[in-house]
Amino acid sequence: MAGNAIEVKNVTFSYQPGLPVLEDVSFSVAKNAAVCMVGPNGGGKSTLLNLLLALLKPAKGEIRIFDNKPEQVRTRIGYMPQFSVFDKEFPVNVMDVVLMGRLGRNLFGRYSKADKQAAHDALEQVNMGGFQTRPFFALSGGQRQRVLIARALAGEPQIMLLDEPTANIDPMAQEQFYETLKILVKKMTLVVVSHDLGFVSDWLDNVVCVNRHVHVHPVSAITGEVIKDIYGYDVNMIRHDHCCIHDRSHFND
Amino acid sequence: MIEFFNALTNPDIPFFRFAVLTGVIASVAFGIVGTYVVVRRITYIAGAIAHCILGGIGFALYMQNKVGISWMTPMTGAIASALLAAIVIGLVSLYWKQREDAVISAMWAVGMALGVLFIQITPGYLNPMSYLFGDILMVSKQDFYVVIGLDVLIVTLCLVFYNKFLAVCFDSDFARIQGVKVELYYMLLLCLTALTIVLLISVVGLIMVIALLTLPAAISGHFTHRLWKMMGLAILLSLVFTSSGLALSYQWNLPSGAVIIIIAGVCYILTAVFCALRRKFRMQVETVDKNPE
Repeated sequence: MAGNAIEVKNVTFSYQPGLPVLEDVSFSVAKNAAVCMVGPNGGGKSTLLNLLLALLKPAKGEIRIFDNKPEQVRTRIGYMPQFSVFDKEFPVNVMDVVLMGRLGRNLFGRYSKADKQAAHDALEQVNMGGFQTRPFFALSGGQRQRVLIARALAGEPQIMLLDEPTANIDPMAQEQFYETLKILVKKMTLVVVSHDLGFVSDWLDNVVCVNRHVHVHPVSAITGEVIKDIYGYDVNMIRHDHCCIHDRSHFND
Repeated sequence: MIEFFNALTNPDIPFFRFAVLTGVIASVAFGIVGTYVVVRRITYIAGAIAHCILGGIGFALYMQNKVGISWMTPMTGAIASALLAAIVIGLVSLYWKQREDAVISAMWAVGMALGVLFIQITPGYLNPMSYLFGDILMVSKQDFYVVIGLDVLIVTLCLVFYNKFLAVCFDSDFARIQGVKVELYYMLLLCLTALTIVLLISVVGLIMVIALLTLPAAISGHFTHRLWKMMGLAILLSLVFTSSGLALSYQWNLPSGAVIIIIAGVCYILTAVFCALRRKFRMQVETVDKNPE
């Protein structure tokens, strides 16, 4: 279908022959939709993300992003990696990190005034305007996540992929972080990866369940006070609108 | 100290001036490349490249003295083998995901063994000690110009691609998504490291290369949170280490490479202890602030 931001068709991927991590996966994400990718560890969430970023290539099937191959539209993708990939002693400040979002725009990677302005604006957008010269690793977990969002935003992306953005930060910072994310809703396509099944907020359109196979569920709000009591904050249920009886690989089986 | 400055200005011993100037000029490359090596955590790879160079030096000496190819100087052999080692080790570390450390260790030892063999079968008396432990006083005028050339090349490339190297070292996946050819820059960084090691060998010898490459950057990493500041301080420190080491070794007639490394090592230990104490003190102050009673 034209107008989709992400189109995945019959994709299979395996790291070792005979052990597919993803098998015959097909789904699409509409332009400016917000989806959450959930699933158990080892279910293939990160693999799928790497396929969308063209860091991995599918063994079978096809991935189209804005009707192009992923590697052709990489610069239109904003990416926020898991925090654990970083070396905590690396000497960078906040501005150094955010400017990396503009790296692809110049042959030698020099930053222009426009690049610096874009980085500055991106930091303002996530309420981190005053932190430009702070050492990146001296920030709190929640602040670092917001800086990493700003880095992705600085590249003026049309799709934002976030890998486990709320892992390793406290519930209070998680709440703030989702507030920050909300400003991006409807402005760009959002894909948030999370292993946390419970945290599916009301601004999401769909939940993409990844466990070797992929199933997309629409999110619909539930008004039960009961759930709020259990979780302590607003959580929405996933309603299974389609038939799941045949899919034996779906989780909780 | 006065003797040191007298020696510097003494027209009868020009080699001493060359030695000090070589140290000063090469320090710029040491500081910049050393910082990349430390933040990217590839000191082990740098060590392997250094030891492979002995193979290249041995091969060049053999070709020069036995086969009679006059342009095969130890410097040519060192540069060629350093680049070759960097490329092979780079490919291994990029694509040989399993047991890359074992492969790199093997190259480390084989390179060294080749060097020892070639030096043994080369006619005439050759002392490998000056390559192993460095003899900056043996830097010839010709070597001196090669050192300047390499230095300019290394510094220019590192400055031109500063932002790209920074991004590749910090977060290679993100850099790749930005369209940066990550593997290419990683290989370029290893080649620059290899050339810097060639410079270092003429100052401290290949056994002690790693110390002078990493200690200045490691010390400055304690005090700064920006890559370029870390480089600047590392340049300054390696300048201080090489020239003070030379001065002291001249004064007391000691091997210069060893003196340089001992000064650098002692400074590293002192700053590490200082920083650990400072952190402990700050944590105590913070706890006192939180619990005023």
